Amino acid sequence: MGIYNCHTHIFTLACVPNRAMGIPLANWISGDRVGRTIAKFANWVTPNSPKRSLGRYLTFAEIGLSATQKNVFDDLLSVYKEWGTVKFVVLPMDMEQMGAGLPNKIYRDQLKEIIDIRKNNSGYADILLPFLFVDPNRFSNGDAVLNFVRDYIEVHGFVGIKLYPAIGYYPFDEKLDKMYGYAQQHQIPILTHCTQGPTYYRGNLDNKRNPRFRPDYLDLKSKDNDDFQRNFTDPRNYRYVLDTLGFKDLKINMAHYGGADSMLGKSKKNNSWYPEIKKLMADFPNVYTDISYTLYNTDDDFALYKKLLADLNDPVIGNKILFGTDFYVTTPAKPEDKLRDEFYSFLVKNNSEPIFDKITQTVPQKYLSSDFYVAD
Amino acid sequence: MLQAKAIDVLLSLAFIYMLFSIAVSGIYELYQSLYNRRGRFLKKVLTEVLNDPHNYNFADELYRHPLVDSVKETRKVFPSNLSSEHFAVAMADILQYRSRNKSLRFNHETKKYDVLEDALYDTLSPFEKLKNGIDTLNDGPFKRIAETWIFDISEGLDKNLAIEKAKANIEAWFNTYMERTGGWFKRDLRTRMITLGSVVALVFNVNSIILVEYLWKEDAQREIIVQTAMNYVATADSISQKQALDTNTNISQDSLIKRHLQSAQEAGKIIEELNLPIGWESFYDYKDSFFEVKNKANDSWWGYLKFGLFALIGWISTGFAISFGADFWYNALKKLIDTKKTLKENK
Repeated sequence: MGIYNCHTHIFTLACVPNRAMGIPLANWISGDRVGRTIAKFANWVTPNSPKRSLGRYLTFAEIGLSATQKNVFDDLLSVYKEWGTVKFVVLPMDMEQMGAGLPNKIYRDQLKEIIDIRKNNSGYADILLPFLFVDPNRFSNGDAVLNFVRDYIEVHGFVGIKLYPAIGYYPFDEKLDKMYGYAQQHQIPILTHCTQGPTYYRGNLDNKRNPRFRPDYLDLKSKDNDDFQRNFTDPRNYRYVLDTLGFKDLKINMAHYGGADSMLGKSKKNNSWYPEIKKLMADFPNVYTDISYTLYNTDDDFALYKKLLADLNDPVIGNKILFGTDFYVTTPAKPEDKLRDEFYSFLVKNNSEPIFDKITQTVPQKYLSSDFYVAD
Repeated sequence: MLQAKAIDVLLSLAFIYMLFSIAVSGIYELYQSLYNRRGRFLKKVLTEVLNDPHNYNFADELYRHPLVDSVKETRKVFPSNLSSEHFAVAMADILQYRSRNKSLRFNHETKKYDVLEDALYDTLSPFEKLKNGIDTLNDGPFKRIAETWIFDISEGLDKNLAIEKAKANIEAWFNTYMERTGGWFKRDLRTRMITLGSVVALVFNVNSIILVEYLWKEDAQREIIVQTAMNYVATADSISQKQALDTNTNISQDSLIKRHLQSAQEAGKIIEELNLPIGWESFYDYKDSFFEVKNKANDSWWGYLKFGLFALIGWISTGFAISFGADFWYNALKKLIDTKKTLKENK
């Protein structure tokens, strides 16, 4: 029996539009030798400050600058080489419709590269489990979305579907209805990004102010793109999908558990997200969450880990939490091995080692299995 | 008399610019090699035409192809040139592979993925695979290019001849495209040479205005420079300096850099021997003798500003002149020497 890391990335920086993070600084640092030298020098001058040091950004850039996704995946495998068989849910990113320009490597290339890695490298098809990133803005109607998804799931062996509403769509977008129906029918896992981050829609907000549902909690007048992304990501939107639209059995992972700040009650505006995700998990049979990225936070004597442990011991939601790390996006915050080992050690120290088996094996098996893939 | 003097000044100037161009070319070749400029430029121009948003980035595939990948020095250092034959073989191979319909299917018994091979693929001829591969592309700029590679090949043509003809078409397209992009590279090079030339002019204080004034006034020194220039040209065919001027020779990148650096060193030595008014030691001496800035420069900000502008124009002029390259100045020098000889004979 293998263990599962349910949230990783292997896309290279070539797949990211230059303005995806607002300013082209990341690309500049990562893509230019002069920029890299300056960053190295700055890191040497201020080794411990800022908290997420430039050195770690540099490591992030180094990984991202890898020539191919296979290089990145091999980097990931090397971190887990002593852990036996580990399977990774790999999440591509389609950032072409987010108003930040076109990346050097277009989305189709990114997908083709993943398919080739799995076909041409013995054993990789069984440990690299790709989800298909779906952005409805790319398609003219729901049938086109469905055809796209069916092709990649049924012909190319993709395991699940990845949503990232922050890049400019609502989860209850009409064009996604048929896809939800198909996913529910075949129990195909969906993973949706559920925290406020630096990757969000950078284009004109005016055509985003008239969604299909207009609940009170949406702030549709907001003029700031960073603030507006909350409208897309808000976990309450999924009640419309699960309840109002009737996809009650949809298997969906609300990734990142709302984010570390929301979990610790330190978020300025999103403190309701964490309890809302818990409620969704309690109310619907197939709603999950994962602890990717949030794991980096060990502040205040492991306050977040303690909260997680309490949730993991809960008889209902405790069986719906998945292990994931968010490799290599987390690298600026904490290296992958440290992130994993700190959490594992914490569980061991608290006599909760079986919980690690639960979140890396039992729960992922249930979550990932569908008519097209059986996790064992 | 005045005409001969003017020719001598121009001749000396051309010689000085040529020496500096050789020196700057040496520095630039080193920079190009360190930063893999040629390789990166080649990748950029290929990406420009092979990255089709409606299909795939075929430049990426090309660079991953074993034929191209094997000539990369390291993972991130791209080859500085690519033969048309390698390009044609690699592109044909990439497009042929595209017609292969392998799929991944989860096997519920073994609980593993099976790669389902395309049974039809191996029954096709290389040309049919290529044609099918192009047919599978979405309409887009690259498909239109790829279609021109096979449009003049009739269905009835022998299969082996057809694929050879297609490869020849790809080679011809590549050569034409490379010829066109060669012009882009030269334009890009020119801009960089102006910048680098101006930086060198600033660092070594090579002010064209001062040089002209100096060459005009210092008869004895001008005579020495003219003589040195004529000797240089006379012997250029038999010595390595000529090689530095010839950028088209088919030699390896490393030896080209070595040759440039050696020529740069030699050029530097000649410049030093010419005892020119360059460098910062004599800066204030020369500022005093031009455009009457001497009096004002010493006592007012306007004077300094005027002097600064004068220096700036002088440096940029030098940079601009250097950007024409050693080849240009060598030819100019030869023409000026011929003119000088004709003038002398007429006299």
